[in-house]
Amino acid sequence: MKIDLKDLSIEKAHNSLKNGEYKVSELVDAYLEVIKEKNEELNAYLEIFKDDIEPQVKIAEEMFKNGTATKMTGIPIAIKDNILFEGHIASAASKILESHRAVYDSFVIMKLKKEGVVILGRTNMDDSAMGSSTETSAYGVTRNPFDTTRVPGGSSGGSAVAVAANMALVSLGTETCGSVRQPSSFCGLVGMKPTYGAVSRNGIIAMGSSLDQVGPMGKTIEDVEILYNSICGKDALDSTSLTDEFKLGFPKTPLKKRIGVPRDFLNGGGIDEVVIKNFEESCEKLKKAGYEIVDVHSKTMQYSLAVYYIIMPAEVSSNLARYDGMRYGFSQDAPDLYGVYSKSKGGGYGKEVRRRILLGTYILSHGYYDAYYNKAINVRDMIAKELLSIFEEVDAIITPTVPFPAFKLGDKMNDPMSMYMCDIFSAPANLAGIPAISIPSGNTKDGLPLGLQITAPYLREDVLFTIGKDFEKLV
Amino acid sequence: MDIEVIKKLALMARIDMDEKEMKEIGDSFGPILSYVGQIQEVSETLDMEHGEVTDEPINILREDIVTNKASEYTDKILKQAPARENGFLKVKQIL
Repeated sequence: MKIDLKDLSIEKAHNSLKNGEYKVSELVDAYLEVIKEKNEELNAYLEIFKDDIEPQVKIAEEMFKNGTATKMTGIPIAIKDNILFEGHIASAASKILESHRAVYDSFVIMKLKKEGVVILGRTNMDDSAMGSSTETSAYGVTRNPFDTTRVPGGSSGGSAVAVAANMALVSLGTETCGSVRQPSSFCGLVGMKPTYGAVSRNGIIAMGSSLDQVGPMGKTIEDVEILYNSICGKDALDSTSLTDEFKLGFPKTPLKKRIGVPRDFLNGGGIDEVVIKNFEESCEKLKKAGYEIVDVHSKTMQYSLAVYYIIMPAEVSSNLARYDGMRYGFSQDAPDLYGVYSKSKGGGYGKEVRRRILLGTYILSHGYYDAYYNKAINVRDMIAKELLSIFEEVDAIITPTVPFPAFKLGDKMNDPMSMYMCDIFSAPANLAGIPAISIPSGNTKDGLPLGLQITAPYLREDVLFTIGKDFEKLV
Repeated sequence: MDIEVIKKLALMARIDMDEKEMKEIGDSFGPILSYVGQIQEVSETLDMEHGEVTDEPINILREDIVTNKASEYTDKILKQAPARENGFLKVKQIL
């Protein structure tokens, strides 16, 4: 039978699998068929886990037979190339990890395996998750399925395209700043960055450890919600992962049905006219859904991206120092010890990665540390506190996800600062550790998707889902 | 930014790169540092309209115990090293 992948949801697929309308193997084959047809052009996947698909399908089918199947059982999923899946290459789309094979499962993969998902393959991304377009990958660019001359966003571009082009039902990306939300916005998907600590970072190739989180991506809020519920939870191997007891301190209080718009922040964002017009329409839709839209004032949000571009490179320069050409990954021989380091790092790190490591090294060096890093830590704290105080008045804050729609391949590659501006509205959530979601809010006249970003207080992902579902009905 | 500074940074970060790239990175640092430098404007005593929220981070500690079996991962990890000898990584002479 022909399965309609375009409008398929986890719930629909689950019911069909449960009722025996089709088998897990047939569902998986339908996706593999599309991958065969489209992946060469789009380059969403770096590798399909061919030998591993059949055993996973068998486990899932067995779970349906013995009645232990959950909603995620048998669901074909794509994972970003920086998520460890035992026995498989996890390269973070970088040359320096080209030969790195995961020796254990990340926490999220362990959770998903228990539910019997079918992991189809690993997806392309910006080199070491550094970029906003998937163009810095050491393995070629990924193309946006809405217009193949444009970028899919990044750094989780491959995970976005896999779902948008019906090559997986849902996918996992990761964020340090916007890397799930921005490609979701560019590819017409829902993508969420959970509360920092809601999902374990154990087994995720580190970039900026105080900012990194795994995030679910899918076509609907409900799919993202189901996947999120599958991957979150306390993990003893990540000291920043939150306990259930801690979570009790953040009760799910009823909504005030009031949403804030940080006007001052938006006005400084360099937003395209088409994006601001779409955003105003989104505000009107939310009003129709019964929400009061009010202006909120922030004195600190405008500094978020500047703070991010200090803290992130500082953490990057420290995190990536571990790739030394001596333990795993790319190695270049040289006559002496220093030579092995410098040749391996020089030949293995991508260009943008090298830039950010040097930037972090500069920021952390004697004489600049106080002016940049210490100052940024203080302002980060102020941003978080101000956001929390704003949330005493409103349930959520909304902005566009990105100031512009998907841009042309190559457009921003020679101007790092303009590439960094993609993340201007993403940064507050990562710095404060609060959850944020991007949901499709319409298209430009050329058919390029646009996204609405909703940000909520700590551990109030439920607020994002509730408002998102109300909004989804009206789009 | 002066190329000599970039050279020093590359040396500290142990990254081999050519002068052309050093110059390019140095040039790109100008706009980046001027953008991030705007945080200097933020006053530490910024008067917040919304009042003070106190939310201090807390420490999460665990018992200092071994959670994996002895040598559980050793072979798998060592197999990925470019050079090894008798269960150790083999590197160039250090001293």
